Amino acid sequence: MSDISVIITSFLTAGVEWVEAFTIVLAVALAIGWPRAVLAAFAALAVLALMTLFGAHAVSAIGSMRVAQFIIAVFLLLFGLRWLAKAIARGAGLKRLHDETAAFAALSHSTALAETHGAMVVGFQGVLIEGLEVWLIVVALGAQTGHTDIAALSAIAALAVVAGAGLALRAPLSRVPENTVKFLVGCAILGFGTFWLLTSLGYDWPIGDSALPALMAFYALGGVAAIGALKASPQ
Amino acid sequence: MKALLKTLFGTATALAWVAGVILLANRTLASPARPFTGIIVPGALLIGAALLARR
Repeated sequence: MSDISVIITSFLTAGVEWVEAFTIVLAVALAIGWPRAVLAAFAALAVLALMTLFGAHAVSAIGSMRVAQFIIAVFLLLFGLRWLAKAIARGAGLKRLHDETAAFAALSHSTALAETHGAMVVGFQGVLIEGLEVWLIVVALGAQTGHTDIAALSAIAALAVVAGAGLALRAPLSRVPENTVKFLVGCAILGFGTFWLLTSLGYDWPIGDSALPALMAFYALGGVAAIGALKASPQ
Repeated sequence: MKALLKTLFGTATALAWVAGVILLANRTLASPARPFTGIIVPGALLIGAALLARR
């Protein structure tokens, strides 16, 4: 179960971040051409790959498994809490939905893309910043389950899918239901974080590993209820 | 600048909430309510997400 959860969570997290990164690379490519835009994107991906190797090594260097589990759980809880909160706010209409077409239009008209070197820096930074969340999830889920390779391959598969779809369309992938995906990823990450936090503190889950999908379902149902309650409450 | 401050405040609030949840988990595990830790902690995190969403 854990491996399937790692694959799905890594794929979805990476997918939604690569969609945002693709919008930036597309705007850069239309300004300075595909070769330079792709070069900037690959440079950022190379940095992320090195960071993944370093991160996995750093986590495995922590002597105590419980300490590593606790540290990873805290990061996942922080990250998951913010993702779920943002998705709830957007679902309830308290925050505007992320619009890839608008983001693309704003970046395309930006003066930052007027000059080749500056545009390449924008492309590099964009992919690196969007990829940092992917890196965190791949390292956290991979190191904890002992399958960094599986988590990394899932993120690479998501990259291939997004890049393939984006290159075929030559347009921002605005039809991807980003908020729904972020909501699901937030629930999954909070589930992993809660499971590992309490395990590291010595809690024995009464239903064993089945607690992980149960936690994810709890956050999903609770999140939907929170969206409904926030929609109904006066602003 | 306003967006950066908002992001920093959001991160600090989430950090404070998670720290509070860890303390709560520790206390619950050391109390007679220990069997219910697996319900109390996710409940506290869900409330935190809803409150952060409302902010």
